[in-house]
Amino acid sequence: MDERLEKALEFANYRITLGNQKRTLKQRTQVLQTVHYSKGVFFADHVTISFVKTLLDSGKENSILVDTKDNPILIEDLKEFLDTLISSYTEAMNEYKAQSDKIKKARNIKSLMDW
Amino acid sequence: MSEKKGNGICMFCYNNEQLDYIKFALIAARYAKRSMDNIDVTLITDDGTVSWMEQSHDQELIEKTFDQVLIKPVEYESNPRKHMDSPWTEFNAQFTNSNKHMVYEYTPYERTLLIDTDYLITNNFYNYIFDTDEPIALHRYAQYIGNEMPYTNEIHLNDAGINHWWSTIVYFDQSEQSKLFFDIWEHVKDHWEYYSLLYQYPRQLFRTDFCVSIACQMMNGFNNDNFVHDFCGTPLLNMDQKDDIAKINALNDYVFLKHDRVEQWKNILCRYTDQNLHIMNKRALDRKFPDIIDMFKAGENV
Repeated sequence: MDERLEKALEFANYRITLGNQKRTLKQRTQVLQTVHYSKGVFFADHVTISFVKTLLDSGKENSILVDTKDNPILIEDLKEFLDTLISSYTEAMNEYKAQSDKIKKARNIKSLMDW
Repeated sequence: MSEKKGNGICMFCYNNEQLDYIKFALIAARYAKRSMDNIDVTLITDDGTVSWMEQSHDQELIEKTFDQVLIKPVEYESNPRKHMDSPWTEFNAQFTNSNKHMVYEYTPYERTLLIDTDYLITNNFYNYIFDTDEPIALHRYAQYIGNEMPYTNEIHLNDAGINHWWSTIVYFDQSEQSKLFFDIWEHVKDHWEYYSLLYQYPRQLFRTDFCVSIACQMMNGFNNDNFVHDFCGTPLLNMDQKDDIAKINALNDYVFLKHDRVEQWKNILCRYTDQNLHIMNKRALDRKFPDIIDMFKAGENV
């Protein structure tokens, strides 16, 4: 095979593998951001965190929130809930950043796979 | 009053002529203990399988791995299943799964996680479920490695059918609701042909996935309600029987050779770190058994 074509195919395969690893990492992060609290399922993203913080700032100690399954959930201790959300968010983002940096540094399939 | 106590994992294991399920059970149990704070593990098996386990593995390994071994013979019912090892190798093996619903009775635990022997728990995701008051939980969604969608019959039982739920991992407590769930499972098993006609699924192979799918649909009020917990919508991560394990970098770091479903001769490498994995190509897992056990032993010596 022409050397240029061989290199082009190799690079294309690397890009496919890289894209795949990025998607996998994103999904793993989403799992880490999922929080089970008071029989409800919540997603610890900036929207949920900001909303809970707003409720707390306006003097609420408890509130009803609609979870990702569209169920109304009574959150009795908003402060504790906020801490849980922030903890999940931080853990997920730390892992996302660390793994993402590793992927970025890998310039070929072998290093992507730690072969 | 129930005498069952605490939390734990149960797994069923019945060897056949083709597949040494004991190896898989040893691996799965070691992973679960490693990732879930040394959780108790009970193996449910028969005399023949235990005898083979004692002949083929050293006592220390067995004792370290299983906290209890329950002998529960199962009546032989022909249930041949087609297995693949890569797109090019096919073999048939007896699939013994007719007493899986009995786990509600067999389990020594108040809260139980029933797992298949080909399921590797490499993180602590399932720990949260033991602190909830959910009576039953199963995976509703799945995904194949390489971000591939499940096959159509793994999303719904048929083209216009009810949702497919996975029996690979079943969490349950000793509540009335859980009992009801396992009673429905048994009822579907006992009337397999009738339900295959009613729900339009192939009746040739007895699959517990279909039993739990019907049980979940009934318990969700014959619709898509959410009485049955679906592990927060997290998908089960499956490795296709046509894929292979290319390399194990570490106990929580797997590299797979994933085939292309359309052009099966094409492959791509996929790497998964700290993710729970359903290894459907059992021969691939069998090939890696010595490496995995050596890694566990090396970890103990550190």
